[in-house]
Amino acid sequence: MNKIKRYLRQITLDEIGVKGQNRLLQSRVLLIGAGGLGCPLVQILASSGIGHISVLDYDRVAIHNLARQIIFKKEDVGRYKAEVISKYINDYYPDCSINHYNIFFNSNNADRLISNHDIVIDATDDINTRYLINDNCVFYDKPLVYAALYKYEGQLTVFNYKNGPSLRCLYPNKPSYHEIPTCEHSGMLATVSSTLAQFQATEVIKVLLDLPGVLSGKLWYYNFLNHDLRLINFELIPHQYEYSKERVRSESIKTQISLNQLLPYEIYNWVDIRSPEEIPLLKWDFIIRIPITSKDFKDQLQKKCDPNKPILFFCQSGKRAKQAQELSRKFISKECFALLNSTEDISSYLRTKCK
Amino acid sequence: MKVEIRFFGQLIEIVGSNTYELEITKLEYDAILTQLNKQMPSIKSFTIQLAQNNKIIQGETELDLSPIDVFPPFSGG
Repeated sequence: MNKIKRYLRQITLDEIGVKGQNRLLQSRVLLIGAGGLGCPLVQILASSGIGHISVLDYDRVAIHNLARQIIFKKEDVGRYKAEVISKYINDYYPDCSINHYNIFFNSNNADRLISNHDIVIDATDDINTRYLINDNCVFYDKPLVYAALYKYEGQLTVFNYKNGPSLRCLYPNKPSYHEIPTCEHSGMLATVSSTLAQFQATEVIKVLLDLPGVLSGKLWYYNFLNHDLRLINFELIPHQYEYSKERVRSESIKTQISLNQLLPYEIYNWVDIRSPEEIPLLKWDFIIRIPITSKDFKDQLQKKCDPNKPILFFCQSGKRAKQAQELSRKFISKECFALLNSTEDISSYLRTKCK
Repeated sequence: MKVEIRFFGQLIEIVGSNTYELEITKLEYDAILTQLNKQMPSIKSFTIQLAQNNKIIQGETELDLSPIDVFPPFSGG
């Protein structure tokens, strides 16, 4: 009854009703990016009665964020953005359960994050991440609500909605970094990012409720200075869909690596997943021993590994390392790799490196 | 013949203007792109998408002399 009262004004809308509101309360939304777009988005979505939001951002609150990322207060400076948001939503919006991840979105965590949500929101400010999100949404068949801005101009669209076009159908070639100025360099006005976020949130609700007029195959463009408004139509390019899927497949292969692909050995958590009796025993003190057969494999991994370093699994031949990598990417947010070399080769490699 | 080109986003700063009169010999996508890159080499290295009459145009799209909009992707958030 309280819920009905709380959302009465939206329930009154013919297109929503109690049924639509219940659907929102059961929806699971993945919000990637907790900045100028992400803050107003999470606030309005939680207040609209979205049942679950997962918010992901690796960044911490900085003093210059406070002017437009209005959830954050001065005391939050230095704290993880996603964590602060999570607490805020818990305090003010009891109907919304929230998970937060203080991590980068990457090809290792993409499937775990995307697959158990109904919809993905791209509120990032990094062009590489935007393409990675797009490719994974194509691969896992999730609608993606996309917004991006440059100074006073905004772009908004919904990708991958009911077999509609994706980011690569609109911009097939991923731009290089030098082409794309970040907000850090170009500046941003709070009203522009928050207005764009409200439009983005409206598309999220429309997609979740299957309302008409979803911005699929249409790029909405608005210039907040001169009020130039465009709605640009674009079409699905089937081979771009296939390309996205191929990118995801090839990225997952990169998690299986060889000694010659390693970065300096010191940057990894070296995890030996063999049984204690297996030889040769690698005696370097940085080697972490957690047999894959351990009942508390997950707990040991979380306890013994340095959280700031990627995990490198190895075994006698690489076979079990692949299993460990597959298993761990489901619960470990940091990057993890399977080393495909034999223990003998690894031993020789470390002998040359650790003098 | 001439066609009006309208720029968006950071392209305005790179080109130094919102619009440009592009001299073309053929009313075709490839010809327009080639002329654009030739007459405005500063945007050659940029990812762009062309639209006419509010529709993204590609190689086979039939064109008229309406202005052509040049959009770069944005990334800010």
